[in-house]
Amino acid sequence: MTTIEYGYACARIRAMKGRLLDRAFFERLIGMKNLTEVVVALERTTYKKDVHEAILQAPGAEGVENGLRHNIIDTFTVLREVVDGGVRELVDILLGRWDVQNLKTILRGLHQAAGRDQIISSLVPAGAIGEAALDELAGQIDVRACLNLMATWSMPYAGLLTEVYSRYAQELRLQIFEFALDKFYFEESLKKLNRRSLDAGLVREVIMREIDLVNIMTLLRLTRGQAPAERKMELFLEGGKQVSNKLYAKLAAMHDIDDIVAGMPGSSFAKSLEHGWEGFLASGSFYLIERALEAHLIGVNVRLFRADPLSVAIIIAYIWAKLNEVVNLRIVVRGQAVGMPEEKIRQALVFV
Amino acid sequence: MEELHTTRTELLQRRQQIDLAQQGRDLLEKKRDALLMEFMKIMGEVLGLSGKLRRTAAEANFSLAVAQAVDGTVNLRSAAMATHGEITVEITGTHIMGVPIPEVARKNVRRTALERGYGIIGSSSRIDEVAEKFEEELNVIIQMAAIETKLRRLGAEIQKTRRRVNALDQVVIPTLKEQVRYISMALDERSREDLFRLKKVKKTLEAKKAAV
Repeated sequence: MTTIEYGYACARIRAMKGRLLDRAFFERLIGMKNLTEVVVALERTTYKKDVHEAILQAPGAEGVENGLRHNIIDTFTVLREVVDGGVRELVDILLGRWDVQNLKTILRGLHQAAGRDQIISSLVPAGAIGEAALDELAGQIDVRACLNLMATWSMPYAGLLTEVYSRYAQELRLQIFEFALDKFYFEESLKKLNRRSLDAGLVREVIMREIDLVNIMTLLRLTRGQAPAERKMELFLEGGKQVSNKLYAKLAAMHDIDDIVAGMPGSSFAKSLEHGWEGFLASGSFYLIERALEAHLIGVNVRLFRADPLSVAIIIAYIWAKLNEVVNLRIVVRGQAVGMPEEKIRQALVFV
Repeated sequence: MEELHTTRTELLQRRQQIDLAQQGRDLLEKKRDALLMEFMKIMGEVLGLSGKLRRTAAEANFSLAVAQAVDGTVNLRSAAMATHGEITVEITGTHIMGVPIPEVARKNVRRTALERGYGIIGSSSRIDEVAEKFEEELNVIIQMAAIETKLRRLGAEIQKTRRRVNALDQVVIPTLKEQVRYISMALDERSREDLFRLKKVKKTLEAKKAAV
């Protein structure tokens, strides 16, 4: 992409950034008495069309959530359209997590012989694999047929899934596909980013931070479930920046979560981990640890708005800011719907 | 009403029936008391469990709301497809005071994150927590289903026994007693008639004898 084209893409994204909702808007939403008031407030934002349409089909929190989902899909489709060439490839890597999640959902649905409609309603076609392709894959008769179709279309994940299929057929465990997909996504992304350019370097940093977070959470969740060290090691993802294989193995041998929390003093996640751990000790809610780590990751990635304005940094920052905004809106909407106390809602929101 | 023979044999039979009915009533009363004691014991357990069920359901719903908010319903639905499965419950039978009661074997449906079917990477601890809380709720429901069935059966048996005691007390024994009284009266009446007849015959014979 040339600098001029970059300029255009970045200008479009800056304009989109300008439409992101600010903290004051969320404070107003939290203070609202009911969901209807929240919907009325949302109808004065960029979510107006999506929320309005979705709420006609399914009223209440579910309708609003569907509207937010459509908005994310539309926004990222626009994002992919305003960039091209090498930057489109980088955006596809960043949005590739949706492809992985959609493929997992399709395989889960086919594994359990769920209906096509049920599978389709659980997809978020925000990645490189389009809605039509996903619909077709979801409509296959079983997992084997789905893999065959992926191979016919020469989809990047087809070879890998076909490779592990025989093991899946023997053990009938979905985790075989899921771990292979996740591993492939991160490894392939890092492989594609293994070139010397500012943009590739920035995206690589993002992916590496994500790998670190995934590894830390895998350790914490499996340790909580008292899984043996070998099982933890099987799920290790290579390529992280701060959690090396050696550190992971050391932490995997630990049996207490507090030891793991204290076991990464030099890591940039250490402070968030400690914060989440304190929250867990006070409330007993384990997810607070993950939320604290996510907040850290969101913060680091969204702060890329301040980096080079003519680089992929602004795209990374926008993707994370937009995602965070949608999650924050979902928290407020669901919180309002179930009558969650304002303090609990505020605690779950992440602002950068 | 059944035909009543006003005979001495009938009277003896009815008296025997009264004794039998009274014995039956005493036995049924003892059974009812024993069942009631068992019922009250289980009732305490049910009350404790229903409180626990309310608490676990509230916790599960809160976790669900958090996961729906942060991960989204779509992700939750997707994970739910991977964890879909059946739970088999072993049911055997036992007897309490002759009442057949089904025994549901206590089964722990709780699974670890690795056993739930979805991959660890790409899912979140919030989804784990939702699954964990609902599995806990399911455990309580299974426990409660077993005890509640026991309670229903015992309750039905107590009612049945109470109805039987009442029937014996209010209908059968009073009817038998009434019949005994009636037969006794009839027999007394008959003996008085016989006595009167005999006296009359004696008087007639004496009158004939005097005339001769």
